[in-house]
Amino acid sequence: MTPNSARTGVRREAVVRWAVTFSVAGIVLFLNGDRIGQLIGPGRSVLIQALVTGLLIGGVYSLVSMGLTLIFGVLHIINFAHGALMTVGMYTAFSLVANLGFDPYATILVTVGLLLIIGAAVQKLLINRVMGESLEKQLLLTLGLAIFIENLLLVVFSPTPRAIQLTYDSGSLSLFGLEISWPFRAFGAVATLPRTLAFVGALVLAGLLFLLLRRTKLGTAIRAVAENPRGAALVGINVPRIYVLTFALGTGCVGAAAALVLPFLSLEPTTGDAFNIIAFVVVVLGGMGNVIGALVGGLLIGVTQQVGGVLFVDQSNLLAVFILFVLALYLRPEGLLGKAKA
Amino acid sequence: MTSATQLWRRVDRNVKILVVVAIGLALLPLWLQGASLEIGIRILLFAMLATAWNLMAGYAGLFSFGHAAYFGIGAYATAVLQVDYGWSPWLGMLVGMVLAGLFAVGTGYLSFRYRLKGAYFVLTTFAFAEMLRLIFLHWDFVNEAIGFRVPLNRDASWTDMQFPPDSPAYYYVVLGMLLAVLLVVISLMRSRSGYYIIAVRDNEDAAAALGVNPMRYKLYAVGLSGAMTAMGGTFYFQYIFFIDPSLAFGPGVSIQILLPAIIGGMGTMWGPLIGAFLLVPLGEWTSGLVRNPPDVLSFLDGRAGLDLMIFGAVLVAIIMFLPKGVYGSVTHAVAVRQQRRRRDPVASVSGTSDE
Amino acid sequence: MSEQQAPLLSATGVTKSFAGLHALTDVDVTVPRGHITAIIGPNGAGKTTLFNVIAGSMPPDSGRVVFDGTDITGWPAHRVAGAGLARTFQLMKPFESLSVRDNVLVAAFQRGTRRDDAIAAAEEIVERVGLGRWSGQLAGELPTAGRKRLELARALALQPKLLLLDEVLAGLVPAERAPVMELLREIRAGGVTMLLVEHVMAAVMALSDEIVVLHHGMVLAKGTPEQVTRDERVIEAYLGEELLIAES
Repeated sequence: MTPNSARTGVRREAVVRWAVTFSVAGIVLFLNGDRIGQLIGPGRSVLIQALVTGLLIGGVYSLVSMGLTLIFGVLHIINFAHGALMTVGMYTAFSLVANLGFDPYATILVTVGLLLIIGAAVQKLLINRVMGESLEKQLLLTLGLAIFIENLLLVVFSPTPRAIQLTYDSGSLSLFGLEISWPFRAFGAVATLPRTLAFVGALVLAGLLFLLLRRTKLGTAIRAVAENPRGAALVGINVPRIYVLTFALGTGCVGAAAALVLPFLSLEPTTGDAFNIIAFVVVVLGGMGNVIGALVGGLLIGVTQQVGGVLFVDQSNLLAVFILFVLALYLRPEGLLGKAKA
Repeated sequence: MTSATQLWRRVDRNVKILVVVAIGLALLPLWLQGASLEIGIRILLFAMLATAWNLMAGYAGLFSFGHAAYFGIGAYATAVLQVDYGWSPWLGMLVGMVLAGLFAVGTGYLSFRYRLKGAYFVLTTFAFAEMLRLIFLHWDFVNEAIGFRVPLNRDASWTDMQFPPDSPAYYYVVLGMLLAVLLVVISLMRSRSGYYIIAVRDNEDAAAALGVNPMRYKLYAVGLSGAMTAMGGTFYFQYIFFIDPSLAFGPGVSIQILLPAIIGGMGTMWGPLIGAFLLVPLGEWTSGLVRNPPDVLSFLDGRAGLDLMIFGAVLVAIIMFLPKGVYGSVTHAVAVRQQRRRRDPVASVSGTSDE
Repeated sequence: MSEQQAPLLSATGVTKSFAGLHALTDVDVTVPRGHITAIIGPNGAGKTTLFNVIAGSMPPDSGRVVFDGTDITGWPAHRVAGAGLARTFQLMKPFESLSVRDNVLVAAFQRGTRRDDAIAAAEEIVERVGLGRWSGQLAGELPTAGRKRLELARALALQPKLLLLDEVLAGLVPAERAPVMELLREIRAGGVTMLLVEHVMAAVMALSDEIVVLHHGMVLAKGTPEQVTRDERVIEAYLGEELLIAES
């Protein structure tokens, strides 16, 4: 019996995919050989800085993406308004700081609370109507919402960029007998306080979210609904309520992220856009619905973005992200960490 | 009965509508001057782009959030060839159409081959448009962020696609493009390829089991859609005399292309045109509100973003209350009434399907 | 062996696994020309998987499928259909936004004839399967019985040499079954060879010339209906209850 050509065909396809990917990567690296050589050798500090900065911002990407992937995994909706809602959080925090003198990090309580409420309202009033409808309808609904929100912010706050400055941008502190001063320096790279706090805060919250999903009754209910809404309903879970809560949790994540990034990013109505795009890339890479995938993906993309930025100096740092995105899609459509709930 | 009447009766319904629309639109400039002519041109341009998008997204069921890629390729192909090499924009348009078609087929092939579906596919189309934007933004061959300007030429003629500012010629050029695109889409959807495209959309497995090659027909729709969209890009460059990576490849472009089709009715022939007729004047009106607000709304003075705010709200409302779009909902209501009549034993028996 | 006597379809050594589950193991099926062959077996026996492999929806891990002298192993579904092998789906797949007639037309177009001829052929087939009243209605609005017939009509419009029917009688009440069975007999009389997957034992007994029994992805028995129903292994594994129901 001749061996079946079909099986070798499938294997051949995978080989071709990897071969093409590595060839493309190889060509890109070759064309940038000089720059790479410089980065690895004399310019090493630049590379290390990029790695550090990338990791730090990656933490925030992880938090934002976890919210997005949670929404997708449970409600099966692409929330195109994710970035716009983050901008809402940022303007809220900004107003509290500029007008009421809040400490930037204290605003997180307000932004998270506000975004939880807004998220719940959006789900209940708008998204609920299109649950179960086609993908395009849901996408367009959240897109319309995003356009509305972003331009509302534009009308209310004008396009003038805003920024806040931490009064304790650099300083020092005695902790357990150790003298800690910031900005932090290690391996020749600098890590500013706000970025470091954002990273730590994001990971802490990500961890809390993860604990909530794994160890609480609510979390179990959410995961049940994600797996099988009808089955969950049969065992007595209030599925519509879970939808509302999950969406709110997702938007709560960006509320937190908003407060965390305000101290080091300039704020415009379009600031959330970049986070939106990046979150989508992360979620697709990590597997839609895969929370750990979003966590890892966020860090990976953050690093890719910064390293790509110093590698392809003449290009936008997002280009490296998109190239990775497209390559990853063709290598593993179900996401790098697999098991998508798409 | 004259043979002309017999002939007319046999003609496809959409073609009849096309003839009426063509005549109506051709006569419109007699009443339009200046600013309203500009609005008319924009309506026709977006109707054309939306119709091209609708072929891929509505009829073939492949929702694209990155049509700006094809639009931009069309615009830049013309720009480079005209500005740097002195080619006629008509030739540039043809080159742009071919390049956009190839890009569409290439990216489409990769996406279909690796079975990217649903959300993954949509995001991939978006990613490709963004990639082009970022690449062009930093590419000196296309002047990076500066873009291109159409060289002003006082002796310009039809070969240069450049006319005096108030000339209705621009209107007729874009009208010609719109009618051509409509004719192409109508003929395609009438033909067996059209049936295959819809079959693949409705159920790819069943279509394949009936001998229809899904990849071929999806690529057919995608390539054609991309090429026709590129035509619009060429026109746009000639009309506003300027192009840069944002105007060519930005997400706003993709959104503006798909909105008229959604609002008018995805997957219907006339939805995109109707959507354009609704959305463009609405956009103009809200921009006007912002520029010269009545006293009641004086706080709006000079504030950017109001028009898009209303867009966003309208879009949300349409999705929630008119899921089939305006035209789609109307035809659906009519069809439902027809069905009810059909179930009445008194009514006539067989119906020919008309789409 | 003359051309006329060579089997129309010959699947040999077909093996297929999904993530560790052995759906099919070394299955041999032969379908003689002009005959009706039935594949029976309990749920999960691998019947639809076998169909999918033959019809090209999925390639086998190993084995060969030869159709009318041509090796079609691993061919994509549309190519298999083009070679003259038509199939219906157990979970019906109508083109919901097209009318009943247009559903059939999609298949009729494949014959390569002129548009008007294809339309006429489609309308004729729609009448033949008894869907004439619904010809202009959207396929999405048909009840189950109608959808089954539509599946059949579309497959017929391809004018196939071999027709693969996946549970074409399932979900029909006995009153609805008789006309369909009559239709199948007419189709065979017209020279079309058929391979059925069926659960309705009465129909299988009445229609088929040969029966292949699948169990846990392997061929348990083959032969005429009489032979198979007397086979002890078959009775033990599967037929016991079914036969009682059929004979009652």
